[in-house]
Amino acid sequence: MNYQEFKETIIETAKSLGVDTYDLFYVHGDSISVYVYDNVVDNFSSNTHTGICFRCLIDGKMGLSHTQLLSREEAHRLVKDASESTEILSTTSDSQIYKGGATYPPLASSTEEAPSVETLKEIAFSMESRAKNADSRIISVPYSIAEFSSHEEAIYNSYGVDLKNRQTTYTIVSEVVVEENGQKKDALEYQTCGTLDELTPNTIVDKAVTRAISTLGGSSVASEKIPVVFENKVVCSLLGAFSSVFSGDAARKGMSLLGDKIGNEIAAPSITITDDPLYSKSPYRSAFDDEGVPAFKKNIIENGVLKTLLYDLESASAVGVETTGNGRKASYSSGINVMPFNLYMQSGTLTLDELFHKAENGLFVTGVKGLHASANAATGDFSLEANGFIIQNGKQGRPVEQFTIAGNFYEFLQSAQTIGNDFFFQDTVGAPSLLIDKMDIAGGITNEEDTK
Amino acid sequence: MKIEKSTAERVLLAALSTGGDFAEIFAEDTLTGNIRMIDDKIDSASTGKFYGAGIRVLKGVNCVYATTNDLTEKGLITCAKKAAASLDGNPSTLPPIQWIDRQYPNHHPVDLYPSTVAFKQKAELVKEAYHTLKDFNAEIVQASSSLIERDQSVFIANSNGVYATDRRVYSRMALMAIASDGIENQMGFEGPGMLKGFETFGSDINIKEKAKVAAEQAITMLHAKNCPAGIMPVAIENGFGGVLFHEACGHSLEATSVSKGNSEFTGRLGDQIASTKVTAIDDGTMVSSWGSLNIDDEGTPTQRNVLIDQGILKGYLVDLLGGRRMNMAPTGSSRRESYQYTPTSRMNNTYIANGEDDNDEIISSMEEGLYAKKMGGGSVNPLTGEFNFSVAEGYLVKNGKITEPVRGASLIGKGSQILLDIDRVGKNLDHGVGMCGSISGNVPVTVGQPLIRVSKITVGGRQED
Repeated sequence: MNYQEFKETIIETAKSLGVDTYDLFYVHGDSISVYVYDNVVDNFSSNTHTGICFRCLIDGKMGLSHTQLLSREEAHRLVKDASESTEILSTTSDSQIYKGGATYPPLASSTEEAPSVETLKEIAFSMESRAKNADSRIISVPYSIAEFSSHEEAIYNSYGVDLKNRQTTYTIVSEVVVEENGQKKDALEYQTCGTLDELTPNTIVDKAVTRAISTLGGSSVASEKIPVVFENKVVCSLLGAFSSVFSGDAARKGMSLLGDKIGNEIAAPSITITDDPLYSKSPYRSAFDDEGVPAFKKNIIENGVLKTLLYDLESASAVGVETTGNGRKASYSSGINVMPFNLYMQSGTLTLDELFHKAENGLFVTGVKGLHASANAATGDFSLEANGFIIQNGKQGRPVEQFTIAGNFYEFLQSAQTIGNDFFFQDTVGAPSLLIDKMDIAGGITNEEDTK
Repeated sequence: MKIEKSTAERVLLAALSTGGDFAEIFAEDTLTGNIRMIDDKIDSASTGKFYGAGIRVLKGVNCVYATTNDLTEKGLITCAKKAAASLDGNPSTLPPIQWIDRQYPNHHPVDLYPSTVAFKQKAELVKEAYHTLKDFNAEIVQASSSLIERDQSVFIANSNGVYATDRRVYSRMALMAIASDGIENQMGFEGPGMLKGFETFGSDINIKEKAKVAAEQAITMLHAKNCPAGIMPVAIENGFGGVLFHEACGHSLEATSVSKGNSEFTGRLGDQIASTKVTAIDDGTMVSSWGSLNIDDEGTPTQRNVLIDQGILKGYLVDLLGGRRMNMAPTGSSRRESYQYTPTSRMNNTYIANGEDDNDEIISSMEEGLYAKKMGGGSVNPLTGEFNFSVAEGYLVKNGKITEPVRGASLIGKGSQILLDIDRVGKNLDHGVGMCGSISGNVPVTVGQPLIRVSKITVGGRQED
């Protein structure tokens, strides 16, 4: 059975069971990945996946069921299970299926065709060979990956909303291992973009090599409160991990501290944070959210002031505002949650050197780990493993590692006054480097190999 | 979930038609269910099916993988041919598959399969947990209680003759409480689960007790001050404290990284890699434990693998492909989140065994340090051994006594160093439930240990202003 037939069976079944308010969310993806290791194609993968999710609204309650098997029996089960599950749900006047009738921003689906396997092989082989020959300290190149994936989505609902979108993504990954004086270090860099033309494999390999080599000979630091310049990549990681602080749904449930702060200055005046579903530099763009609501660009924070939180249909109704078109699914099988599309902090005016100069003596943090375990939007707290470089007399100095950096994301936003101009966008998050006057650092492991 | 032998044979031979030396079919039919209560409302109840197959072909140490949602013979052969197409060997006459006649008994009994329990009954459990969390104390401003169920039926057949099926039933609850004083929030969490059916909530897991622990943790942390930063001895309580070993050592013993020379423990069998007090095991056979399996995702029966014996490295966790690189037999440790992933060596139920030290003495002999009562999650880079994890509930230790609670602590270090710095191993072994993420996706695992002490770790925290 194909999607069209499945959709018709759903419509029939819903009608026969008296289920008259529903939506159907369909995805189909194809991806090819080539991993090259040690001069051969070490791993080749050709994945196809299909998923379909049915939601129905009965007495103000939204049931949900999903499947990967397009069959008559599954279509029946979806409608039956989703409608039965509504019996245990609490009624809310806020759950809804989008009634449609709006205009959508003009955004063409991607027409990029899948490349030949040869094309991907060439890219991956060239990445490995470039990495291997880049420096005498390179001892291994664990990952040289080239991947293409296409992702189709279709939304259909009982009000006649009928939408389709196709996104294509190229992903390349380079990981290198370097060794010097008995110490091994690795670095991984990657790029995602929409078309073959935008790929820059040489740049990615060079970045990985440079990053790995720059971390050789790292030693630890003392525990203290000092100025920290966060590299743009790290600011992106923080912004991404804490993005749910901007969710109006999280706020109304006490899982974000921004609930009653609209109109307040909650960040330094130099901070503007934007969500843009149509961002031209991102391969993940859509004219509509996963409820079928038209998507649009909005400033969440503008010059330090909280202008809006993000909402889906349900949370917007509960709070008494309009949806911001941020009703999204983490995957086709999940329910609707509030999420940004392409979230970025706008660039400032200072160069990285000027940030170092302002810091005078401190740390330049270029890597953090443990965000997934530590980041908590409800509290804002984070406590992370970090690495980077010393800043000494206003200049970047020796590499440092094995220290922790602890703080609170809400305080981070308030203290981020000094913003760089080196905007970096990757996946769905973007940010410049920035300086925070005081961060808590803990360090000091002594290890014979590391002390210099 | 089963594919007829004749079909399986045709599919495997199609996969081997371009010079591969091993082919495997992994097919899956999985049912899932989730019910969540938050903000005084059951706001979501969902059910679903994951259905598909992955066909893998190996040629030496190279791997080819293709997936499909079409499990008819035609669909599977198309998929097999897609995989085979990327190898350029010549087709040759292949012998028929010699099927191994073997039984795979189920060691993990299930009484109430999730699909047989009514929504209403599940809702009652979720509500009971929610109210225990929310009503614990006026400072609890929000609670969330979720029931998470999975019933996975797998079919595995390969060109070596393995022909196996297995059914894994998982039942878990996620309990979260948020405490607030109007200005700040703190959180408490418990996530008990078993490789068992719905009956587990009446027999093995006391949901109300767990909910109270989560609520208590949130309240304690609300009134805690920031953990100071520095290097100090740290005592880590039993149960989920085992995440220390999982991150600091476990991942670095998986063939996934060892086989490519990307682990700090590559080539170190027989070496003293930990203090003599440490004996560590990864056991895939523990009855009904969240991380157990009858057979791994390559069809190899799971085993009890002794990784470290009194500090000496005894073995790695090996999958088929890793085993080819390392010239070692598989240890029943090959796992994948679903048919969407190629399998690789992972952990099951990993723990540090009970030791000889007295639990009270472990604390009383600490002049100044940290007592990590409850750990959060963490991660590791197996190449360098650098790991991190968060302390969910901590207390300062002063003059041999556990004193005030502290929040926001994280622990970092190098796996190889921390193993050598374990200077006490107590006697109250317990296991905690979690999900582990790696290149073959997210898999259910347990981590465990008795109360242990590390003589010095870098503790990340914040100074009071």
